[in-house]
Amino acid sequence: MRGARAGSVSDLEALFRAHWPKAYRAAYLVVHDAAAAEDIAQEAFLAAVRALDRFDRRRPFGPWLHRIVVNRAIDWARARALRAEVGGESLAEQPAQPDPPHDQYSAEVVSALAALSPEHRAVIVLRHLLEYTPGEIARLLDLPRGTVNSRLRRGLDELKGLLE
Amino acid sequence: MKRFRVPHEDEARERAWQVIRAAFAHREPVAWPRRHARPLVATAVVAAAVGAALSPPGRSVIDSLREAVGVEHAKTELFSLPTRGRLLVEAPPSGVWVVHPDGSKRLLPGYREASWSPHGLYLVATKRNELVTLEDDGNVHWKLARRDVRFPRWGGTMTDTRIAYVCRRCPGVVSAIRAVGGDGRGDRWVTKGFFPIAPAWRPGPGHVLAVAHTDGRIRLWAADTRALLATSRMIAPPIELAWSSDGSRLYALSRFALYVLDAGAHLLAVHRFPDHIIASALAIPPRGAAVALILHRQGRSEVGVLHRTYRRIFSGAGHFTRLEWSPDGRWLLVAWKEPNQWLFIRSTKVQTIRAVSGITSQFDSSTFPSLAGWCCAR
Repeated sequence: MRGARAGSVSDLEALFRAHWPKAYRAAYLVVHDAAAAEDIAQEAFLAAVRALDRFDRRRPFGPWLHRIVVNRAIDWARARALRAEVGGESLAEQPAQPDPPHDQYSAEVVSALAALSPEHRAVIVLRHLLEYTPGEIARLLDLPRGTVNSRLRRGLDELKGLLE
Repeated sequence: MKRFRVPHEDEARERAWQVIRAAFAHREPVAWPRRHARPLVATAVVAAAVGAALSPPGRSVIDSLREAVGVEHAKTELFSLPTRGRLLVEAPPSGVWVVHPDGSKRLLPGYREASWSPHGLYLVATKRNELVTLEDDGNVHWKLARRDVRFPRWGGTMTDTRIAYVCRRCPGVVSAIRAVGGDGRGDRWVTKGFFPIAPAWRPGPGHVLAVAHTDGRIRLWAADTRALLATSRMIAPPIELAWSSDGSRLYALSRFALYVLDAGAHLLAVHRFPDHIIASALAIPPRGAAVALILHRQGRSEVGVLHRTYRRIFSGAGHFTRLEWSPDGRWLLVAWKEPNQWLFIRSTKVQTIRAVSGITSQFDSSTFPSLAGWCCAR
């Protein structure tokens, strides 16, 4: 972080490569759309670049980035839910769809996760992909800890039901 | 879950890194060759300018106007439009209004979702199960009975036009974008699987229709043959599509970014908005390459113009709902919901602002009326 602030591209690249995968995966698991996830994670990093000079070095970079990513992903998923699809039939020429994940376990979990609400997806992703504690999730999402715990419990129960 | 990988993750990472690195390079005081720097400058300038514009207010003369919601000394009636052209206004439940330059208004009762024909000779509007073309005095030309029609848009040349519309329950192909000749003949479906936003006709001949599809891509269709002409890369779900007046650029506005595509649906530039700023509308002037945008942040709205760089025109507390350019490109009309005002802003240098209040009651509307087009003097 210090090197990036000083203008070092290689340090910025190290920062990017260390944090991109989890940011991108977290966004994807909330929005279930690779292009949107790429946009969301990319925008979060652009925000980081813009804020480099003002960034408080005492604060860890990861939670700051994940906060932006997950909140934007929730916003995006909510917006898409409001914009229900028109037309259920497939197009004559089919667009490229993302390949299914290689790992069967991952594929099932990811599919089931898509059936949850964006809010439930987000807390599960923060807890089980990014490994934040419920207290940390509460701070990241500006939620009461009890709300985080109940969303986690309900989300995991629903996920379990879907996977059984 | 920790083992999960997004398909094509490496490619996404490298694409993102190119963007991040470019943004970082622009941040540094490094003189780049201009031809390389331009697209990056565009993106960064929007971010920087919008961020500054929607930061705590209080710098310019205009800023002082907006501290109270609404512009002071607004006229209580729309006595006239500031320039030529006629306005289309949707005012449910009364219908669609046509406003003439002298301020006279004519109600076309019961209609909704109206838009002008390319040269403003006619307009198309919908009723729930009807597509109707008419003159601005209400004289109906033809009707097409279709179930649950929405988003009619009229495109083409002076002599050969098409009307695109969404039909959610039409026979044969359910939920399709359809196109019909300007004379009411040749109705056919064009495509399916689209986002519920209006399609956009490319100006000029050829009847090329841009459609935002649910797979995140914009597609260009030849409406007459249903041939797919081009497909864009995936973008965030757009809320509005619009072509530049010369048909060389297609703008797709999402909540977080403005995507600029060329006439072949190739992505030319992405103008991302800063954090916590969300876009809601755009307007294309009758000439030139500028784009006017409405942006929102924490209860405030702003209208600005992007033309190489981004420049704020006006901002205020509350919600700007729609904006329209005048036919001569000299005025921007901004609809401001909370003070129930319209603002006519003279030129992008804000030489004059004319405000009109009491808009809802002037159009006998139960909600704040929506602007549907400012077109063409006759």
